[in-house]
Amino acid sequence: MKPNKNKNKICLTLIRLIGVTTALMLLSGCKPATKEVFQDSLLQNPSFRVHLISREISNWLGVRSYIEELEQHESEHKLDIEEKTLVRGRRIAARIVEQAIALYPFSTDWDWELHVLESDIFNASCRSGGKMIVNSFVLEDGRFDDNQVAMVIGHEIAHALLEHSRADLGRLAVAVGGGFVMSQSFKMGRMRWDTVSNGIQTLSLPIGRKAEREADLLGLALMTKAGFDPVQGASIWPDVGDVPVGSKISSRLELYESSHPSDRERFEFLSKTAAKFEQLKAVNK
Amino acid sequence: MSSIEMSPQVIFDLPADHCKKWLSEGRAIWLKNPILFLALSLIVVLVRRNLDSLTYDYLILLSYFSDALLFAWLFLGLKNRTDSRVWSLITAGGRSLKGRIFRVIFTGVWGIPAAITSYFIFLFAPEIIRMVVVLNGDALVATCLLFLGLCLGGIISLLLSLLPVLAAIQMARDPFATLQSSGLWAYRGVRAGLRPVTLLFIVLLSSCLALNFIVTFVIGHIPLEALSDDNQNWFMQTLMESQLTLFLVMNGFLALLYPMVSDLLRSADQDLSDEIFSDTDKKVQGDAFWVFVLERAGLALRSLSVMSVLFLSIYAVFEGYDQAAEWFVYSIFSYLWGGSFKKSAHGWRQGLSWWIRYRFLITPIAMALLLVGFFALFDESGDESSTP
Repeated sequence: MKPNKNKNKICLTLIRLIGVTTALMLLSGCKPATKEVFQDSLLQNPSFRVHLISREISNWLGVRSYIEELEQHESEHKLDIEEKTLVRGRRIAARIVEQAIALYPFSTDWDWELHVLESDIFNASCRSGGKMIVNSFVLEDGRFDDNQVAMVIGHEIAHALLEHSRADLGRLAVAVGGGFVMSQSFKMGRMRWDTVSNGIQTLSLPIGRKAEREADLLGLALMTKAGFDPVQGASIWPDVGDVPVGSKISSRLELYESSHPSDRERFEFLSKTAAKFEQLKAVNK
Repeated sequence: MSSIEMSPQVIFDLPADHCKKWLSEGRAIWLKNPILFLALSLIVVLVRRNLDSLTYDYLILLSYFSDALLFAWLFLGLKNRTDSRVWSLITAGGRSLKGRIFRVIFTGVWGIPAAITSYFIFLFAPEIIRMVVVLNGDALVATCLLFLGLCLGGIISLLLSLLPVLAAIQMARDPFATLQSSGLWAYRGVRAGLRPVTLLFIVLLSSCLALNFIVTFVIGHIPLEALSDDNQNWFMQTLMESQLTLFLVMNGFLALLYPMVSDLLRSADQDLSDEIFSDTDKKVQGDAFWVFVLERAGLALRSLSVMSVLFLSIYAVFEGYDQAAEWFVYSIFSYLWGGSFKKSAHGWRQGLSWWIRYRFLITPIAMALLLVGFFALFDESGDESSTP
C-alpha cells in the first residue's frame, strides 16, 4: 500500500503545482498592459473602483463648490484678469476638452467652463462637471509655453474624467465616517477626533499619489492627442519643482505627508512617457 | 492609616469566545425591548452630539456623567425587573438607584483619566511615526505603523472607556462601594475581559465600517431632485459624520452592555470576593488601587519626558532650536509632573498629609501659573521693545 500512498502524494503535489502555475499564468494574462503604452482603450480603463457616490451627486457637489469659490473670488475682485490671458487659457483648454469628450463620452453633457484667478501660486483645478480654475501664474505670458500649460490643464481635466474626487469622497466618507462613529463612541471629542481624522487622511495619501500618477498619464495622452508637444509639456516639472521645500524635517516628511509624488519622480516618469508618445505619434503619421 | 502592600494582580481571565456569547445574548435582549434601546440610543447620541458641538472640546467629558447614570440605570433595570415590560425595567432601575444617584453620577469621574490617556495616545502616536520617517525615511513603513497605531489606540481607548461604565455600575450595585473601590472593580473587570473585549472592538469596528459603507452608498445615491443648492453643507456633514451609523452602533453597544458588564464584574467579584476582602477592607483596597493608578500615571509621564528628550534631539539636529525649545519645555513639564504623581502615590501608601497626597494636582497648577506668569512678563517686555 505504501507505494500507492506515495504515488497519490506525488499526484497531489503535481496537481497543486499545475494549479498554481495555471493560476499564475492566468493572472499574468489578466495583468493590464503596461500603462506606458499610448492606447485609447487603456485610458478608458483606470484602476477598479467601487463608487459609493453617484456621478450626478459628485458633479452637483463639484459645480456647487465651483460656484461658491467663484463668488468668493469675485467679491475679492480676483477674477478681473486681462482678456488675452483668459482667451489663452480657454483656447488651450478647448483643444483638450475636445479630446476628453471623444475619449469619455459621459463628459459630453458637462458644461465645460474655465476661469482665471489672479494669483502668484502655481495651481489649477478641474472639478467634476468640467469646471476649471487656473491661476494667472500658469497662464501669464512668458512663464510657460502652450505645451506646458496644456500639460497642467490636461492633468486637471484627467482628474475630473477619472472621477478621482468622486472616489475620494466615497472612500473618505466610509473611513472618516467610521472613525467619527468610533471616536464618538469612545467620547473622544473634537480635540482628539482631529488627530484621528488626520491620521485616516494620511493613510489614504498613497492612493492620492497613485491618482496623481494616473492623471499625469492621461493628461499627457490628452494633450498629445490635442496636438501639443508632450516632451515640451513634461519639461514644466523642473521649472516648478525648484520651490524650496523648507526645513530638513519637512523635506524628509514630504514623501509621507504629501498628496503628490515628488517633482523629480513626476518629471522622470513624464519625460520617459512623453518620449514614447512622441515616437508613437511619428509611427502613426 | 496602615501601610498598603497590596498590588492589584489579575487572577481571572475570560476566554475570547465570551464575545460570541455576549453578541447572542445582546441580540436577544435587543429583540425583547427594541423601542427601549432605540429611544435610549437616541438620547445618548443626542447628548453627545450636543456636548461635542459646543464651543469647548472638553465639554464632551460631561457625557461621562450622563452615561454613568443612564448605563447604571439600564443595567440595574435589566437585572432587577420583575417582568418584561419596559415600565418595569425603568422603575426597577430607578428603585435600585434610590439614594445613590449622585454617587453613581460622580463615578463618571473615572472617565477623565481614561480620556486624558487616550488623548495622549492619539496626540503622540502620529508624532512618533513622523519621527520614524525623519530617521528612517520610509513612507510605506510609516503608513503601516500609522495604521497599527490607530488600531492599537482605538483598542486601548475602548478598554479605557469601559472603566467609567463599569465603575458606575459597580457603585450602583454595591452599597459599600467607594469611588476608589469602584475604580478597582472596573479595572479588574476590564483586565479580566481583555481578550473578549478586544475581540468585541474588532467586531464593532468592522460592523461600523460595513454599516458606514451601506449608509454612504444610500446617502450617496439620493436622487438629485431631493437635494437643493442650499443643503450642500448638510449633505457633506451627513456623509462625513454619519449620525445614523453612530445611532445603530450605539444600539448594539447598549444591548451588549448587560451581558458584557455582568461577566466582567462577576470576574472582578471572584477576583476580589468577600472571602478575600471584607466590605471594611474595601477602603484599604480602594486606596491601594489609587496608589497603583498614581504610580502608573507617574511612570507614563516620565516615559513621555524621555520621549520628549528624543524629539528635542531630533529637532535640534534637523530643524533648529525653536521647535527643540518647545520639546524641552514639554520634557521638563512631564518629568516634574510625573515626579509629583510618584510622590502622591508614596503619600497615599504611607497615609501622609493631603499636601503630599494631592501633589499630582498641585504641581501642574503651580507650573501652569509659573508659565503664564513667565509668558505674561515675556510678552510685556516684547511690547516695550517694539515701541518706537
